[in-house]
Amino acid sequence: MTPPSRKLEHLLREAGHRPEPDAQMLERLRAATHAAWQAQLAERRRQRQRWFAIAASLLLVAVGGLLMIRQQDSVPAMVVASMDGRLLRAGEEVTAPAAGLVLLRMPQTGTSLRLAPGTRLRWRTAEAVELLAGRIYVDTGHESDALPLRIEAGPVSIMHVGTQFVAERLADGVQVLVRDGVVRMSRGNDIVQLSRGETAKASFASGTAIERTVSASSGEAWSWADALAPPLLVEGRDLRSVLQEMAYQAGFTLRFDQASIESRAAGTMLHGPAIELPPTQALHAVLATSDLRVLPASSGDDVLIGPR
Amino acid sequence: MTSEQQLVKAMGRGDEAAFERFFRDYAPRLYRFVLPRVRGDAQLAEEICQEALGRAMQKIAGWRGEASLFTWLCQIARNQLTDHWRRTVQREQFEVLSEDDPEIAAAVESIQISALERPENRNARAELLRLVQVALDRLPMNYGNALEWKYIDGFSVAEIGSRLALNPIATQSLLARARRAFRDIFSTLAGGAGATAPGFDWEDETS
Repeated sequence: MTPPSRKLEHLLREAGHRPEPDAQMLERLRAATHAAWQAQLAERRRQRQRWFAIAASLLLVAVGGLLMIRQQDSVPAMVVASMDGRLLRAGEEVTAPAAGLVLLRMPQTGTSLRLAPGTRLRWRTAEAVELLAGRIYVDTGHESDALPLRIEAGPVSIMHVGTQFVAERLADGVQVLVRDGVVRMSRGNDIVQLSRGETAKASFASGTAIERTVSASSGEAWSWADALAPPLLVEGRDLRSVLQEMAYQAGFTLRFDQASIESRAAGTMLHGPAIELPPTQALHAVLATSDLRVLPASSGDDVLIGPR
Repeated sequence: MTSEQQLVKAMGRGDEAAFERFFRDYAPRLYRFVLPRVRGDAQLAEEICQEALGRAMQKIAGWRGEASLFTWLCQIARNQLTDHWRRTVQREQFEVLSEDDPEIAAAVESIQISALERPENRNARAELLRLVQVALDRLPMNYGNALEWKYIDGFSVAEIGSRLALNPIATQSLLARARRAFRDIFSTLAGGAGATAPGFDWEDETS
Protein backbone atom coordinates (compact mmCIF):
# COMPACT_ATOMS: atom_id res chain seq x y z
CA MET A 1 0.00 0.00 0.00
CA THR A 2 1.52 3.30 -1.02
CA PRO A 3 1.60 6.21 1.40
CA PRO A 4 -1.08 8.14 -0.53
CA SER A 5 -3.30 5.07 -0.40
CA ARG A 6 -2.82 4.91 3.33
CA LYS A 7 -3.87 8.55 3.49
CA LEU A 8 -6.92 7.75 1.45
CA GLU A 9 -7.75 4.83 3.67
CA HIS A 10 -7.38 6.98 6.76
CA LEU A 11 -9.59 9.71 5.39
CA LEU A 12 -12.31 7.30 4.26
CA ARG A 13 -12.29 5.44 7.55
CA GLU A 14 -12.55 8.65 9.47
CA ALA A 15 -15.45 9.83 7.34
CA GLY A 16 -17.16 6.47 7.64
CA HIS A 17 -19.98 5.05 5.56
CA ARG A 18 -22.28 7.37 3.83
CA PRO A 19 -25.47 7.54 5.90
CA GLU A 20 -28.23 5.29 4.62
CA PRO A 21 -31.58 7.01 4.45
CA ASP A 22 -34.32 5.66 6.68
CA ALA A 23 -35.72 2.45 5.21
CA GLN A 24 -39.36 3.43 5.70
CA MET A 25 -38.73 6.80 4.11
CA LEU A 26 -37.03 5.09 1.17
CA GLU A 27 -39.99 2.75 0.76
CA ARG A 28 -42.39 5.69 0.67
CA LEU A 29 -40.13 7.40 -1.83
CA ARG A 30 -39.91 4.24 -3.92
CA ALA A 31 -43.70 3.85 -4.01
CA ALA A 32 -44.21 7.45 -5.06
CA THR A 33 -41.50 7.26 -7.71
CA HIS A 34 -42.81 3.96 -9.02
CA ALA A 35 -46.30 5.44 -9.33
CA ALA A 36 -44.90 8.40 -11.23
CA TRP A 37 -42.93 6.06 -13.49
CA GLN A 38 -46.00 3.92 -14.22
CA ALA A 39 -48.11 7.01 -14.91
CA GLN A 40 -45.52 8.24 -17.36
CA LEU A 41 -45.34 4.85 -19.09
CA ALA A 42 -49.12 4.86 -19.43
CA GLU A 43 -49.06 8.38 -20.82
CA ARG A 44 -46.40 7.42 -23.36
CA ARG A 45 -48.48 4.44 -24.43
CA ARG A 46 -51.48 6.72 -24.90
CA GLN A 47 -49.35 9.13 -26.87
CA ARG A 48 -48.06 6.35 -29.09
CA GLN A 49 -51.63 5.17 -29.70
CA ARG A 50 -52.69 8.72 -30.52
CA TRP A 51 -49.77 9.16 -32.87
CA PHE A 52 -50.46 5.80 -34.47
CA ALA A 53 -54.08 6.76 -35.00
CA ILE A 54 -53.05 10.11 -36.47
CA ALA A 55 -50.42 8.47 -38.67
CA ALA A 56 -52.90 5.88 -39.85
CA SER A 57 -55.42 8.60 -40.66
CA LEU A 58 -52.81 10.63 -42.52
CA LEU A 59 -51.75 7.53 -44.43
CA LEU A 60 -55.32 6.83 -45.43
CA VAL A 61 -55.78 10.40 -46.55
CA ALA A 62 -52.50 10.28 -48.48
CA VAL A 63 -53.35 7.01 -50.15
CA GLY A 64 -56.82 8.24 -50.96
CA GLY A 65 -55.37 11.42 -52.39
CA LEU A 66 -52.85 9.53 -54.45
CA LEU A 67 -55.54 7.27 -55.80
CA MET A 68 -57.68 10.27 -56.69
CA ILE A 69 -54.73 11.97 -58.35
CA ARG A 70 -53.87 8.82 -60.23
CA GLN A 71 -57.46 8.42 -61.33
CA GLN A 72 -57.61 12.01 -62.42
CA ASP A 73 -54.27 11.94 -64.19
CA SER A 74 -54.42 8.48 -65.69
CA VAL A 75 -55.29 7.84 -69.27
CA PRO A 76 -58.44 5.83 -69.95
CA ALA A 77 -57.96 2.13 -69.30
CA MET A 78 -56.82 0.04 -72.24
CA VAL A 79 -59.45 -1.21 -74.65
CA VAL A 80 -59.47 -4.95 -74.19
CA ALA A 81 -62.45 -6.13 -76.20
CA SER A 82 -65.42 -5.10 -78.23
CA MET A 83 -69.01 -6.16 -77.88
CA ASP A 84 -71.43 -5.25 -80.67
CA GLY A 85 -69.26 -2.29 -81.55
CA ARG A 86 -68.94 -1.14 -77.95
CA LEU A 87 -65.40 -0.91 -76.63
CA LEU A 88 -64.66 -2.58 -73.34
CA ARG A 89 -61.82 -1.38 -71.11
CA ALA A 90 -59.77 -3.08 -68.47
CA GLY A 91 -61.69 -3.21 -65.22
CA GLU A 92 -65.09 -3.39 -66.86
CA GLU A 93 -67.53 -6.12 -66.01
CA VAL A 94 -69.70 -7.83 -68.61
CA THR A 95 -72.89 -9.74 -67.87
CA ALA A 96 -74.66 -11.82 -70.47
CA PRO A 97 -78.45 -11.62 -70.37
CA ALA A 98 -80.26 -14.48 -68.72
CA ALA A 99 -81.68 -15.66 -72.03
CA GLY A 100 -79.03 -14.52 -74.48
CA LEU A 101 -75.52 -15.13 -75.64
CA VAL A 102 -72.75 -12.55 -75.90
CA LEU A 103 -69.80 -12.52 -78.27
CA LEU A 104 -66.70 -10.53 -77.34
CA ARG A 105 -63.72 -9.95 -79.55
CA MET A 106 -60.28 -8.96 -78.42
CA PRO A 107 -58.89 -6.78 -81.19
CA GLN A 108 -55.28 -7.00 -80.04
CA THR A 109 -55.11 -10.77 -80.03
CA GLY A 110 -57.84 -11.93 -82.34
CA THR A 111 -59.27 -14.04 -79.56
CA SER A 112 -63.01 -14.28 -79.25
CA LEU A 113 -65.02 -15.08 -76.14
CA ARG A 114 -68.52 -16.41 -76.15
CA LEU A 115 -70.53 -15.97 -73.00
CA ALA A 116 -73.33 -18.35 -72.04
CA PRO A 117 -76.57 -16.84 -70.69
CA GLY A 118 -76.10 -15.25 -67.28
CA THR A 119 -72.33 -15.34 -67.44
CA ARG A 120 -70.44 -12.55 -65.67
CA LEU A 121 -66.81 -11.70 -66.16
CA ARG A 122 -64.52 -8.82 -65.42
CA TRP A 123 -61.64 -7.76 -67.56
CA ARG A 124 -58.53 -7.42 -65.50
CA THR A 125 -56.11 -6.71 -68.30
CA ALA A 126 -55.84 -7.45 -71.99
CA GLU A 127 -54.43 -10.84 -71.00
CA ALA A 128 -56.61 -11.79 -68.07
CA VAL A 129 -60.29 -12.04 -67.29
CA GLU A 130 -61.97 -13.06 -64.08
CA LEU A 131 -64.84 -15.47 -64.50
CA LEU A 132 -67.34 -14.45 -61.87
CA ALA A 133 -70.20 -16.71 -62.91
CA GLY A 134 -71.34 -18.90 -65.77
CA ARG A 135 -69.21 -20.23 -68.61
CA ILE A 136 -67.23 -18.88 -71.48
CA TYR A 137 -65.95 -20.32 -74.69
CA VAL A 138 -62.53 -19.15 -75.72
CA ASP A 139 -61.34 -19.27 -79.27
CA THR A 140 -57.86 -17.96 -79.94
CA GLY A 141 -58.19 -18.52 -83.68
CA HIS A 142 -55.72 -20.33 -85.82
CA GLU A 143 -52.71 -18.25 -84.89
CA SER A 144 -50.57 -20.30 -82.57
CA ASP A 145 -48.69 -17.20 -81.47
CA ALA A 146 -51.79 -15.43 -80.24
CA LEU A 147 -51.28 -13.67 -76.95
CA PRO A 148 -52.23 -15.99 -74.12
CA LEU A 149 -55.39 -15.23 -72.24
CA ARG A 150 -55.58 -16.12 -68.58
CA ILE A 151 -58.93 -16.86 -67.02
CA GLU A 152 -59.16 -16.62 -63.28
CA ALA A 153 -61.88 -17.99 -61.07
CA GLY A 154 -61.12 -17.86 -57.39
CA PRO A 155 -57.91 -19.78 -56.75
CA VAL A 156 -58.06 -21.46 -60.17
CA SER A 157 -56.21 -20.11 -63.17
CA ILE A 158 -56.64 -21.29 -66.73
CA MET A 159 -54.17 -20.45 -69.47
CA HIS A 160 -54.61 -21.48 -73.05
CA VAL A 161 -51.85 -22.20 -75.50
CA GLY A 162 -53.63 -21.59 -78.78
CA THR A 163 -56.91 -23.35 -78.40
CA GLN A 164 -60.63 -23.50 -78.04
CA PHE A 165 -62.08 -24.37 -74.73
CA VAL A 166 -64.91 -23.72 -72.35
CA ALA A 167 -64.36 -22.61 -68.82
CA GLU A 168 -67.35 -22.84 -66.51
CA ARG A 169 -67.57 -21.54 -63.00
CA LEU A 170 -69.53 -23.97 -60.87
CA ALA A 171 -70.74 -23.50 -57.35
CA ASP A 172 -67.78 -25.35 -55.90
CA GLY A 173 -65.10 -25.03 -58.55
CA VAL A 174 -64.21 -24.55 -62.17
CA GLN A 175 -64.60 -26.97 -65.05
CA VAL A 176 -62.71 -26.79 -68.31
CA LEU A 177 -63.55 -28.59 -71.54
CA VAL A 178 -60.90 -28.50 -74.25
CA ARG A 179 -61.97 -28.60 -77.84
CA ASP A 180 -58.63 -27.96 -79.44
CA GLY A 181 -55.04 -27.10 -78.59
CA VAL A 182 -53.61 -27.14 -75.11
CA VAL A 183 -54.89 -25.59 -71.91
CA ARG A 184 -52.97 -25.31 -68.67
CA MET A 185 -55.09 -25.31 -65.54
CA SER A 186 -53.61 -24.52 -62.17
CA ARG A 187 -54.60 -24.04 -58.57
CA GLY A 188 -51.63 -23.27 -56.41
CA ASN A 189 -48.96 -25.84 -57.12
CA ASP A 190 -51.41 -28.25 -58.72
CA ILE A 191 -51.06 -27.86 -62.48
CA VAL A 192 -52.54 -30.01 -65.23
CA GLN A 193 -52.16 -29.63 -68.95
CA LEU A 194 -55.20 -30.57 -70.98
CA SER A 195 -55.51 -31.28 -74.67
CA ARG A 196 -58.27 -31.90 -77.10
CA GLY A 197 -61.11 -34.00 -75.74
CA GLU A 198 -60.15 -33.62 -72.10
CA THR A 199 -62.10 -32.16 -69.24
CA ALA A 200 -60.85 -31.15 -65.85
CA LYS A 201 -62.47 -29.87 -62.72
CA ALA A 202 -60.68 -27.92 -60.02
CA SER A 203 -62.46 -27.49 -56.71
CA PHE A 204 -62.25 -24.24 -54.81
CA ALA A 205 -61.65 -26.26 -51.67
CA SER A 206 -58.02 -26.70 -50.80
CA GLY A 207 -56.48 -30.11 -50.48
CA THR A 208 -58.23 -31.65 -53.47
CA ALA A 209 -56.47 -32.49 -56.70
CA ILE A 210 -57.66 -31.33 -60.10
CA GLU A 211 -59.79 -34.09 -61.61
CA ARG A 212 -59.41 -34.81 -65.29
CA THR A 213 -61.64 -36.94 -67.55
CA VAL A 214 -62.22 -37.52 -71.24
CA SER A 215 -64.97 -35.59 -72.96
CA ALA A 216 -66.28 -34.89 -76.42
CA SER A 217 -64.88 -31.94 -78.28
CA SER A 218 -68.09 -31.45 -80.19
CA GLY A 219 -71.76 -32.11 -79.80
CA GLU A 220 -74.36 -31.13 -77.26
CA ALA A 221 -71.97 -29.82 -74.62
CA TRP A 222 -70.68 -27.26 -77.09
CA SER A 223 -73.86 -26.37 -78.92
CA TRP A 224 -74.45 -23.19 -76.92
CA ALA A 225 -71.07 -21.86 -77.94
CA ASP A 226 -71.39 -23.03 -81.51
CA ALA A 227 -74.44 -20.82 -81.80
CA LEU A 228 -72.09 -17.86 -81.63
CA ALA A 229 -69.60 -19.16 -84.11
CA PRO A 230 -68.54 -16.45 -86.54
CA PRO A 231 -70.22 -16.32 -89.92
CA LEU A 232 -68.66 -18.75 -92.37
CA LEU A 233 -67.13 -16.91 -95.29
CA VAL A 234 -67.30 -18.99 -98.49
CA GLU A 235 -66.87 -16.56 -101.35
CA GLY A 236 -63.81 -17.49 -103.39
CA ARG A 237 -62.69 -20.26 -101.08
CA ASP A 238 -62.27 -23.93 -101.90
CA LEU A 239 -64.53 -26.49 -100.32
CA ARG A 240 -61.71 -28.22 -98.43
CA SER A 241 -60.67 -25.06 -96.57
CA VAL A 242 -64.27 -24.21 -95.76
CA LEU A 243 -64.82 -27.72 -94.39
CA GLN A 244 -61.66 -27.40 -92.32
CA GLU A 245 -62.90 -24.09 -90.97
CA MET A 246 -66.18 -25.62 -89.96
CA ALA A 247 -64.40 -28.58 -88.32
CA TYR A 248 -62.34 -26.15 -86.30
CA GLN A 249 -65.39 -24.18 -85.29
CA ALA A 250 -67.44 -27.27 -84.41
CA GLY A 251 -64.64 -29.13 -82.71
CA PHE A 252 -64.67 -32.24 -84.83
CA THR A 253 -61.87 -33.98 -86.73
CA LEU A 254 -62.28 -33.83 -90.46
CA ARG A 255 -61.28 -36.88 -92.49
CA PHE A 256 -61.74 -37.71 -96.14
CA ASP A 257 -62.69 -41.19 -97.12
CA GLN A 258 -60.19 -41.16 -99.97
CA ALA A 259 -57.34 -38.91 -101.03
CA SER A 260 -59.17 -38.31 -104.28
CA ILE A 261 -62.12 -36.97 -102.32
CA GLU A 262 -59.89 -34.49 -100.52
CA SER A 263 -58.40 -33.42 -103.89
CA ARG A 264 -61.85 -32.99 -105.30
CA ALA A 265 -62.84 -30.79 -102.35
CA ALA A 266 -59.69 -28.77 -102.75
CA GLY A 267 -60.60 -28.12 -106.38
CA THR A 268 -64.18 -27.06 -105.74
CA MET A 269 -64.54 -23.30 -105.52
CA LEU A 270 -67.42 -21.79 -103.59
CA HIS A 271 -69.28 -18.53 -104.13
CA GLY A 272 -71.97 -16.83 -102.16
CA PRO A 273 -72.73 -14.82 -99.01
CA ALA A 274 -71.44 -15.69 -95.56
CA ILE A 275 -73.29 -18.51 -93.90
CA GLU A 276 -74.59 -17.50 -90.47
CA LEU A 277 -75.42 -20.88 -89.04
CA PRO A 278 -73.91 -22.99 -86.27
CA PRO A 279 -70.97 -24.93 -87.73
CA THR A 280 -72.71 -28.33 -87.81
CA GLN A 281 -75.71 -26.93 -89.67
CA ALA A 282 -73.43 -24.92 -91.95
CA LEU A 283 -71.56 -28.12 -92.79
CA HIS A 284 -74.66 -29.80 -94.10
CA ALA A 285 -75.69 -26.65 -95.92
CA VAL A 286 -72.39 -26.36 -97.74
CA LEU A 287 -72.13 -30.06 -98.56
CA ALA A 288 -75.64 -29.91 -100.00
CA THR A 289 -74.32 -27.71 -102.78
CA SER A 290 -71.58 -30.23 -103.66
CA ASP A 291 -71.25 -33.91 -104.60
CA LEU A 292 -69.84 -34.81 -101.17
CA ARG A 293 -71.56 -35.86 -97.96
CA VAL A 294 -70.99 -36.92 -94.37
CA LEU A 295 -70.64 -40.68 -94.41
CA PRO A 296 -72.53 -42.80 -91.86
CA ALA A 297 -69.20 -44.20 -90.68
CA SER A 298 -68.66 -40.90 -88.92
CA SER A 299 -68.78 -41.16 -85.15
CA GLY A 300 -68.32 -38.91 -82.22
CA ASP A 301 -65.84 -36.18 -82.97
CA ASP A 302 -64.76 -37.75 -86.27
CA VAL A 303 -66.52 -36.60 -89.40
CA LEU A 304 -65.80 -38.65 -92.50
CA ILE A 305 -66.42 -37.03 -95.89
CA GLY A 306 -67.08 -39.20 -98.83
CA PRO A 307 -68.82 -39.16 -102.18
CA ARG A 308 -72.49 -38.66 -102.39
CA MET B 1 -24.49 3.12 -25.39
CA THR B 2 -23.49 3.61 -21.74
CA SER B 3 -24.85 1.49 -18.92
CA GLU B 4 -26.88 4.49 -17.76
CA GLN B 5 -28.39 4.90 -21.19
CA GLN B 6 -29.20 1.20 -21.27
CA LEU B 7 -30.83 1.53 -17.88
CA VAL B 8 -33.00 4.45 -18.98
CA LYS B 9 -33.92 2.66 -22.18
CA ALA B 10 -35.00 -0.41 -20.22
CA MET B 11 -37.10 1.78 -17.95
CA GLY B 12 -38.74 3.25 -21.02
CA ARG B 13 -39.78 -0.26 -21.97
CA GLY B 14 -41.40 -0.73 -18.57
CA ASP B 15 -38.69 -3.01 -17.19
CA GLU B 16 -39.41 -3.33 -13.46
CA ALA B 17 -35.92 -4.64 -12.69
CA ALA B 18 -34.44 -1.57 -14.36
CA PHE B 19 -36.61 0.68 -12.23
CA GLU B 20 -35.55 -1.09 -9.05
CA ARG B 21 -31.91 -0.73 -10.01
CA PHE B 22 -32.42 2.94 -10.80
CA PHE B 23 -34.05 3.59 -7.46
CA ARG B 24 -31.50 1.54 -5.49
CA ASP B 25 -28.54 3.28 -7.15
CA TYR B 26 -29.75 6.86 -7.26
CA ALA B 27 -32.43 7.56 -4.66
CA PRO B 28 -30.20 7.27 -1.54
CA ARG B 29 -27.54 9.44 -3.18
CA LEU B 30 -30.11 12.00 -4.18
CA TYR B 31 -31.45 12.07 -0.65
CA ARG B 32 -27.94 12.66 0.68
CA PHE B 33 -27.57 15.45 -1.87
CA VAL B 34 -30.76 17.14 -0.76
CA LEU B 35 -30.53 16.67 3.03
CA PRO B 36 -27.72 19.18 3.73
CA ARG B 37 -29.44 21.69 1.46
CA VAL B 38 -32.48 21.73 3.70
CA ARG B 39 -30.34 21.96 6.86
CA GLY B 40 -30.92 18.33 7.73
CA ASP B 41 -34.71 18.54 7.65
CA ALA B 42 -35.46 14.88 6.86
CA GLN B 43 -39.14 15.47 6.15
CA LEU B 44 -38.42 18.31 3.77
CA ALA B 45 -35.63 16.32 2.13
CA GLU B 46 -38.07 13.49 1.52
CA GLU B 47 -40.58 15.91 0.05
CA ILE B 48 -38.00 17.47 -2.25
CA CYS B 49 -36.70 14.07 -3.31
CA GLN B 50 -40.22 12.86 -4.06
CA GLU B 51 -40.91 15.92 -6.18
CA ALA B 52 -37.56 15.60 -7.95
CA LEU B 53 -37.89 11.91 -8.67
CA GLY B 54 -41.48 12.33 -9.83
CA ARG B 55 -40.36 15.09 -12.15
CA ALA B 56 -37.47 12.91 -13.33
CA MET B 57 -39.86 10.09 -14.19
CA GLN B 58 -41.86 12.50 -16.34
CA LYS B 59 -38.78 13.67 -18.20
CA ILE B 60 -36.55 10.62 -18.19
CA ALA B 61 -37.39 9.67 -21.79
CA GLY B 62 -35.79 12.95 -22.79
CA TRP B 63 -32.51 12.28 -20.98
CA ARG B 64 -29.86 11.76 -23.64
CA GLY B 65 -26.78 11.24 -21.50
CA GLU B 66 -25.14 14.62 -22.06
CA ALA B 67 -24.59 14.73 -18.30
CA SER B 68 -24.47 11.75 -15.98
CA LEU B 69 -27.80 10.52 -14.71
CA PHE B 70 -26.98 11.56 -11.16
CA THR B 71 -25.95 15.04 -12.28
CA TRP B 72 -29.23 15.32 -14.14
CA LEU B 73 -31.16 14.22 -11.06
CA CYS B 74 -29.27 16.72 -8.91
CA GLN B 75 -30.17 19.49 -11.32
CA ILE B 76 -33.82 18.58 -11.07
CA ALA B 77 -33.55 18.48 -7.28
CA ARG B 78 -31.87 21.87 -7.30
CA ASN B 79 -34.75 23.28 -9.33
CA GLN B 80 -37.21 21.78 -6.87
CA LEU B 81 -35.28 23.34 -3.99
CA THR B 82 -35.37 26.72 -5.70
CA ASP B 83 -39.10 26.37 -6.25
CA HIS B 84 -39.53 25.39 -2.63
CA TRP B 85 -37.64 28.40 -1.33
CA ARG B 86 -39.62 30.66 -3.57
CA ARG B 87 -42.80 29.34 -2.02
CA THR B 88 -41.65 29.71 1.57
CA VAL B 89 -40.77 32.56 3.86
CA GLN B 90 -37.44 30.92 4.60
CA ARG B 91 -36.00 32.10 1.32
CA GLU B 92 -33.59 34.52 2.91
CA GLN B 93 -32.22 31.91 5.22
CA PHE B 94 -31.43 29.16 2.76
CA GLU B 95 -31.01 30.39 -0.73
CA VAL B 96 -27.33 31.32 -0.67
CA LEU B 97 -25.49 28.45 -2.28
CA SER B 98 -22.02 28.19 -3.67
CA GLU B 99 -23.53 27.21 -7.02
CA ASP B 100 -23.15 30.90 -7.71
CA ASP B 101 -19.48 30.17 -8.34
CA PRO B 102 -19.45 29.10 -11.99
CA GLU B 103 -15.99 27.56 -11.83
CA ILE B 104 -16.93 25.22 -9.02
CA ALA B 105 -20.27 24.45 -10.56
CA ALA B 106 -18.57 23.53 -13.78
CA ALA B 107 -16.06 21.36 -11.98
CA VAL B 108 -18.34 19.40 -9.74
CA GLU B 109 -21.56 19.91 -11.64
CA SER B 110 -24.19 19.56 -9.02
CA ILE B 111 -22.35 19.68 -5.73
CA GLN B 112 -22.66 22.90 -3.82
CA ILE B 113 -22.37 23.71 -0.18
CA SER B 114 -24.63 26.18 1.51
CA ALA B 115 -22.90 29.18 2.98
CA LEU B 116 -24.02 28.23 6.42
CA GLU B 117 -22.16 24.97 6.08
CA ARG B 118 -18.85 26.39 4.97
CA PRO B 119 -15.88 25.21 6.99
CA GLU B 120 -15.12 28.62 8.38
CA ASN B 121 -18.50 28.58 10.03
CA ARG B 122 -18.25 25.04 11.27
CA ASN B 123 -15.67 22.60 12.26
CA ALA B 124 -13.33 22.36 9.30
CA ARG B 125 -12.42 18.76 9.93
CA ALA B 126 -16.02 17.64 10.19
CA GLU B 127 -16.84 19.44 7.02
CA LEU B 128 -13.99 17.81 5.15
CA LEU B 129 -15.14 14.41 6.32
CA ARG B 130 -18.63 15.21 5.13
CA LEU B 131 -17.18 16.20 1.80
CA VAL B 132 -15.56 12.78 1.63
CA GLN B 133 -19.04 11.27 1.67
CA VAL B 134 -20.27 13.81 -0.84
CA ALA B 135 -17.38 12.93 -3.11
CA LEU B 136 -18.20 9.24 -2.80
CA ASP B 137 -21.74 9.98 -3.88
CA ARG B 138 -20.46 11.94 -6.84
CA LEU B 139 -18.50 8.94 -8.10
CA PRO B 140 -20.03 6.29 -10.28
CA MET B 141 -21.90 3.84 -8.10
CA ASN B 142 -19.33 1.08 -8.42
CA TYR B 143 -16.44 3.41 -7.64
CA GLY B 144 -17.96 4.76 -4.45
CA ASN B 145 -18.99 1.31 -3.24
CA ALA B 146 -15.60 -0.20 -4.07
CA LEU B 147 -13.75 2.51 -2.13
CA GLU B 148 -16.01 2.03 0.88
CA TRP B 149 -15.62 -1.75 0.77
CA LYS B 150 -11.87 -1.50 0.35
CA TYR B 151 -10.93 1.24 2.79
CA ILE B 152 -13.76 1.32 5.33
CA ASP B 153 -14.90 -2.31 5.45
CA GLY B 154 -11.48 -3.79 4.69
CA PHE B 155 -12.65 -6.20 2.02
CA SER B 156 -10.03 -7.94 -0.10
CA VAL B 157 -9.75 -7.36 -3.82
CA ALA B 158 -11.20 -10.85 -4.37
CA GLU B 159 -14.22 -10.06 -2.20
CA ILE B 160 -14.83 -6.77 -4.00
CA GLY B 161 -14.42 -8.52 -7.34
CA SER B 162 -16.95 -11.09 -6.29
CA ARG B 163 -19.47 -8.36 -5.41
CA LEU B 164 -18.91 -6.59 -8.70
CA ALA B 165 -18.63 -9.77 -10.79
CA LEU B 166 -15.09 -8.78 -11.86
CA ASN B 167 -11.85 -10.74 -11.92
CA PRO B 168 -8.99 -9.55 -9.64
CA ILE B 169 -7.17 -7.66 -12.39
CA ALA B 170 -10.29 -5.81 -13.45
CA THR B 171 -11.07 -5.09 -9.80
CA GLN B 172 -7.61 -3.65 -9.20
CA SER B 173 -8.04 -1.51 -12.29
CA LEU B 174 -11.45 -0.30 -11.11
CA LEU B 175 -10.05 0.60 -7.69
CA ALA B 176 -7.26 2.60 -9.30
CA ARG B 177 -9.72 4.54 -11.43
CA ALA B 178 -11.95 5.07 -8.40
CA ARG B 179 -9.06 6.50 -6.39
CA ARG B 180 -8.14 8.93 -9.15
CA ALA B 181 -11.73 10.04 -9.59
CA PHE B 182 -12.20 10.46 -5.84
CA ARG B 183 -9.03 12.54 -5.60
CA ASP B 184 -10.17 14.86 -8.38
CA ILE B 185 -13.64 15.40 -7.00
CA PHE B 186 -12.61 15.69 -3.37
CA SER B 187 -9.87 18.21 -4.20
CA THR B 188 -12.35 20.32 -6.10
CA LEU B 189 -14.92 20.16 -3.33
CA ALA B 190 -12.45 20.92 -0.60
CA GLY B 191 -10.93 23.78 -2.53
CA GLY B 192 -14.32 25.15 -3.52
CA ALA B 193 -15.39 25.07 0.10
CA GLY B 194 -12.40 27.23 0.98
CA ALA B 195 -10.75 24.46 2.92
CA THR B 196 -7.74 22.25 2.61
CA ALA B 197 -7.39 18.60 3.31
CA PRO B 198 -4.93 18.56 6.21
CA GLY B 199 -2.25 15.96 5.91
CA PHE B 200 -3.04 15.07 2.31
CA ASP B 201 -0.75 15.94 -0.52
CA TRP B 202 -2.76 14.85 -3.53
CA GLU B 203 0.04 15.69 -5.89
CA ASP B 204 2.02 12.83 -4.39
CA GLU B 205 -0.59 10.23 -5.05
CA THR B 206 0.36 7.97 -7.90
CA SER B 207 -2.65 5.80 -8.47
